[in-house]
Amino acid sequence: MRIRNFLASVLLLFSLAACETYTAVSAGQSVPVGEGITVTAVGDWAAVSRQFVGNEGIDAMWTVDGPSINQLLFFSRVESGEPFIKSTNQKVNEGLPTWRIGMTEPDVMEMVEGTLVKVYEAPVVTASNLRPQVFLNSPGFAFEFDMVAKSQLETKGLVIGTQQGGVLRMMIYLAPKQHYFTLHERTVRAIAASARTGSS
Amino acid sequence: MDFTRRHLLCGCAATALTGCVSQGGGGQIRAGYAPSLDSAEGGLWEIFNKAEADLKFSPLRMTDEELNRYVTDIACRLAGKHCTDMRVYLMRTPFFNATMAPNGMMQVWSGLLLRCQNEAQLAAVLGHEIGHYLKRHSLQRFEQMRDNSSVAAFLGIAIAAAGGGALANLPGLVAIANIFAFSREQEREADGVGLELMVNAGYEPVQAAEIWRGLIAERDAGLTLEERQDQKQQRDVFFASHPAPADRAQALALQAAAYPGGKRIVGEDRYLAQARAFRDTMMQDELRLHQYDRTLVIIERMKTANPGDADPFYYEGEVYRARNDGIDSGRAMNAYGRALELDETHGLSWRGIGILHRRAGKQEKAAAAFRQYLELVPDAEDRLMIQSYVGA
Repeated sequence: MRIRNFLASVLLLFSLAACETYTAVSAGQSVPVGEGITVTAVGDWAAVSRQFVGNEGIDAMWTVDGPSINQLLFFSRVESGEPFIKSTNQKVNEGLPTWRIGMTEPDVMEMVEGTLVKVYEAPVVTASNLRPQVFLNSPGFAFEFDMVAKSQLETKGLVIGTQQGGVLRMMIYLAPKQHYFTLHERTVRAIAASARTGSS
Repeated sequence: MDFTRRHLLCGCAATALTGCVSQGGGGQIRAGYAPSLDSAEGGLWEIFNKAEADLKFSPLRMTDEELNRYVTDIACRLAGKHCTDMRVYLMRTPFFNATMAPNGMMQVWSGLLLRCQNEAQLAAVLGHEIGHYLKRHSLQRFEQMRDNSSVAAFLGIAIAAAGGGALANLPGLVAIANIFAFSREQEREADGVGLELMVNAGYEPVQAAEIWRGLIAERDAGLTLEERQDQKQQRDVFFASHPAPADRAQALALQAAAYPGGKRIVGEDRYLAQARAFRDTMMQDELRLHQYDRTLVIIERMKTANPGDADPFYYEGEVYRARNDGIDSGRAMNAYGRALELDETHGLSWRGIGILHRRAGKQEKAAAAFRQYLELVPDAEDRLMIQSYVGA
């Protein structure tokens, strides 16, 4: 009986923890993702609670299959002179590249590459296909990247962003190169297209 | 110590590490040797055999046949009758490192290939690793730890060190290195064996000291005298069991001088011919580390080795453009200009110039430079973005 009660308590704790880890984001739902950006979900996603996001600087993290499989990250307001993301490992953060006002889009792409190398401790990060793309109704940019992280998992990423009003606003989609990246790529592009400034 | 400097140290630690695990028990290993599976050494080999099976499919492997054959041939020339006991794996990881596991699995990282200036320097590092293997230093270390009841720790480390993933996990290596480093005596012995193998294979032994001098220059780049002293002290904490790089360079130079003179292989041209095809990939990986002062040391060495080569000046421009501190824009512009003096078709230098002008708000000059870039590099990855800048 004691064991049954103990197991029940453990299960309850796990289920409570699970409830707090994710919040459902249903298709069609408009959701604020950081400061002054709202997106409309295309497909069903789960928003990861802030305390489980890990790296600093991420305003919102969404996932479909779990953060270890795919992540959609939102950076709503990167200030000049700041890195857009920081690791929980402070030693990694020394010398992180920073975004600066006046950067060109190729500069931003290289800054993202250099940051991912450090924060994800990835020996290889290679960005490609830099192109103009409207984001938040403003001229912006998009590019893809391939990354081999320290786990040696081959990851592919899509970055869409814009530099406006003296800040960098950006979203990054990350998923294993095999299968998962393309599985949700179109959905992510649609979410990016839905992005609007404002809180609702 | 900044991130990149730690990586340098970690890289050296990793070399020590897998090198450690690579040797077997007392005495020199004989050609064709394979330990009995029911022995402790056999178990150790088995761990690395499994790791090697995974390594073969690592996405970090550089699989170009010609480059692999070239490096393997150097290793074979050094190893002589032990050649068939070893397998060389080139790994795209931008830090200075080479490792040898006890079962003969040798890894050579791209950061090492980038830093070598000639074949003799690469031979020096490979010879050192083979030295650990021949002298079975790992087994010695294993037996020492077994005596100290640290077998579980040893095997845990061995497993971690064997996997390429763990090797890529550089901060983790610091912890590993503290437990599992070779002794100073083993390092010196491996240096001595490596030098002997170099000479036997016809290489110029003086080059062994040069590779260490290059690392010292990188380690000290951009530091004040005081910071250099701190750096040395920190290094000593990590590598208490390792000879200091300066001591090592000096000892290698003295040992090299003891060998009779004569015509020996340096192999600068053939090394550069082989590495050149991959130099840009390796250099781009290096640039992404944003370790500006150290990268500039590598570039200076490239310039010295190839005075008429435009690429090192382009890389210099890229470093200053990325750092973008104070007068770096001017420095970058000068470097790109020098690259174009040496090679007027160097399209990527026009790209750099275009970016600098665009940053400065000089749109017409930027557009002119970008047009040159697009003309010279028609399949540019960022073509669509650059076209948007020039209004094409």
